[in-house]
Amino acid sequence: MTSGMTIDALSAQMADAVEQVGRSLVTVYGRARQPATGMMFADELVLTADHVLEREEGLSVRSGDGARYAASIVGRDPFVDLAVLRVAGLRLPLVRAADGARVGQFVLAVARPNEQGVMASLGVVSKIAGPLRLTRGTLERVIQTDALPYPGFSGGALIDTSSGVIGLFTSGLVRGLSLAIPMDIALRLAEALVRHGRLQRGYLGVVTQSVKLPASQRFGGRERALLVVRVEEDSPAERGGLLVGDLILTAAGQAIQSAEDLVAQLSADRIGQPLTIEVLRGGVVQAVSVVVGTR
Amino acid sequence: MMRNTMAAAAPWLATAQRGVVQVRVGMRGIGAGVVWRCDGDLALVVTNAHVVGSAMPRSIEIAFASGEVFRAVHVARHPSLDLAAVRVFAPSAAFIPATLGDSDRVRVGEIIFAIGHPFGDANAVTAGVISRIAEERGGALRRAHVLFSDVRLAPGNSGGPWINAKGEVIGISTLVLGGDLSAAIPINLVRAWLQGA
Repeated sequence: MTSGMTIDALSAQMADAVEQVGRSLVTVYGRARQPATGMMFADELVLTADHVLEREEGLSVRSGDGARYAASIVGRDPFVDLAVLRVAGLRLPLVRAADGARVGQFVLAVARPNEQGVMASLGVVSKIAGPLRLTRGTLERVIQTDALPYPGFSGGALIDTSSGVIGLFTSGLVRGLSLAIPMDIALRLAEALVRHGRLQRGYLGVVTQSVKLPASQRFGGRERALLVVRVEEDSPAERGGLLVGDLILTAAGQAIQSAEDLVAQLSADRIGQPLTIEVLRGGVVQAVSVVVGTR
Repeated sequence: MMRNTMAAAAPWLATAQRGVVQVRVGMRGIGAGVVWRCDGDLALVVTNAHVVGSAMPRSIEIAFASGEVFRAVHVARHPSLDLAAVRVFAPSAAFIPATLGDSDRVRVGEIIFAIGHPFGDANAVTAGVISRIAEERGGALRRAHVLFSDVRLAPGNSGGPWINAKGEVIGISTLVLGGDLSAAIPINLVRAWLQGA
């Protein structure tokens, strides 16, 4: 709220913002019960949450004017909970990304959960958290808000009071928590989904287990390391010389104590690049270089 | 949530707050009411039908923010809109009539304040935004347009006003649907009913 702004002006601005972003929002029909929301982010492309698409066929979207369009999946990823739909013939204004988010600023969660029009709830940015570790991969940042998530709000927009989209709202990332995927990240992932149909992640080809180190093998106070229990044949790990029994201590200079720590270092931008991994082998710390693969 | 910030920005709020009355009906507890209009020492107060229930004449009392309490008589009831109107005789100084707005101009995303007596907490203000303007399907309000909000309401808010950022009453709190979505009867519907009553 700009200083000196009357509450009446702020209220009108918020209603304007809801109306404006509402033009870019569609209802997404991809599951049996509650439809969800999607946002128009590029020509004929709609971004939504992955978990609201419970089927791959017979998908459709409905715009604010009531017109219904068939939709098909261009790309999706269950871990970051994003999906891109192609909707031929759909012409709507594109969402505009906000400049950023600050803790405490007023935000509105805006969605189009059914044919009764846009729906909104008010809150503030409660927290900008991250990185959020996912089953596969990570999200560098997530935005937490106290704006209420009504049914069908997943895939909707978390906006500032001038209709800039701060993030894509979803309740599917962390159970019981309303989070928004920051718009810069969501758009970058959407672009990757459009290009590849899925999110590429780095791949080493090892099966590992986090183990507690005996006191005599604790380096720099660390308690745990990652034990290599299997190296897949013809994998980047095998080519790089990782062996069963190696204890992974670091990757790219970052301490590795769990499989998630390692996965966090295997981002798509590392594919094809050498990754330096420090292992404890036979009581000696050794550096191994593995060219990160993909699959 | 935004009570303090918004109260500072809305100087009319304190007056609106004092204008909301308590509607007490025997052992039924407390609801809220809006002073719709007054004519000398006679005022018409609007509340929810479920607040007054099937109260016997003379068992309804209206309590003002000043602490004064007066008997009221039931004049009209519209159970399917959950509306009731009562008439109260009191010294005219007690009345702070509501400023009525136009609910046809309400928009999703605009700020509203609800005033009531949640759990008996007299004249408490809560704030939110209009979440949806929609037809309520099924139930008593079938086919009526209803205002919905994320504003927090509790028993004791029933019959109290929803006030927009201009200080105008745009709705009357009604049944809380349970969960996080609150509902109000649009003021234009109340107006139409009272004109026909």
